[in-house]
Amino acid sequence: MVKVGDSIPQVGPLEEGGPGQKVSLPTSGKYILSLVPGAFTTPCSNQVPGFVENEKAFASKGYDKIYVVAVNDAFVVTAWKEHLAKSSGVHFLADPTGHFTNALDLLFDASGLLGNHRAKRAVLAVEDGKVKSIVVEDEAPNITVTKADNVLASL
Amino acid sequence: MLRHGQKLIRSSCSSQRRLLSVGDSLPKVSVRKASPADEVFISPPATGRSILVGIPAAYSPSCSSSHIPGFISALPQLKKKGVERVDVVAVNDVFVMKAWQATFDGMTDDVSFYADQDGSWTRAAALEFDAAKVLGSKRCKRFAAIIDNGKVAKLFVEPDGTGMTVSTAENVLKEL
Repeated sequence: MVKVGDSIPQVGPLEEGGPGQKVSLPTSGKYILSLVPGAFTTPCSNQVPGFVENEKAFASKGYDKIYVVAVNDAFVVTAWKEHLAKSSGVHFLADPTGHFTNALDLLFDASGLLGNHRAKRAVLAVEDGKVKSIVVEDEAPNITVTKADNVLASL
Repeated sequence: MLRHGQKLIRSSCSSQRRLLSVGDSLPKVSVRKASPADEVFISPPATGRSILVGIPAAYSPSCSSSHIPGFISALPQLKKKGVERVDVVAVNDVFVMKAWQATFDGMTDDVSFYADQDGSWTRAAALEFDAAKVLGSKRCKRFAAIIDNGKVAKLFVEPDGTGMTVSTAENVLKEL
């Protein structure tokens, strides 16, 4: 599992807006990376609004970008953003092959629940491309350490 | 070597990957409908007619704005030709399929969406294609099947897996 001090891997593709619309995570500045198991699943749809609502609060602590990443295709992730956070500045990225999440060693076998390997529920604070802090739920449906309020309080 | 008149006995192996064909029953491979725990079979009426539609990607523009709405709006005409229901299947998880289903106007109980989460149904029907570059995984080719008394009567599979030609509601209506 990726740990404090590690570099965020520049592997992908990561896509925003639709298939083929590749993006890279910044290598300078501070951002929050929220990995979630499944777009449109109940826990994820409950957790993510906390980050959307606290966009300004995160920015006031220097984290002016927030990225939500899921191992789903870019049609699904983009539709989920439309549904959950339409005019928000929070970025919703698709890791359609799971390569990015795998490079962080944060995949888990969600075959029974969702049909394939998915991202663990985790939140990373990143500065200049390196992990500054990381919290990971023990069980994917839980929202405890990865709750936006709790992450904000820890920064 | 088969002698003249001798029939080839088809294997009823449950892991068949022979292309779904006219005369076949649907693969007896479970999918999801209501929740991850709820494993069901796509079960067309044992007597009667239904349509099964396969799509590559929930929430993709062509599936969302054209292919599926075409079948929903054609329901009255389909029913006049004996169709009782339309079932939709895709290699997407059940949460995505349920959310997507809710976006369509005119949905009725006669239209059901099935999530072939791990692609096993699609593989058993040999209708899988590699969409890794665009979607990250293997998906179901776009198709439409007319199913009579539980068996495939006609099957229209898009040659490239994603086009909208033979598998549209318009074309299916012509074939009924």
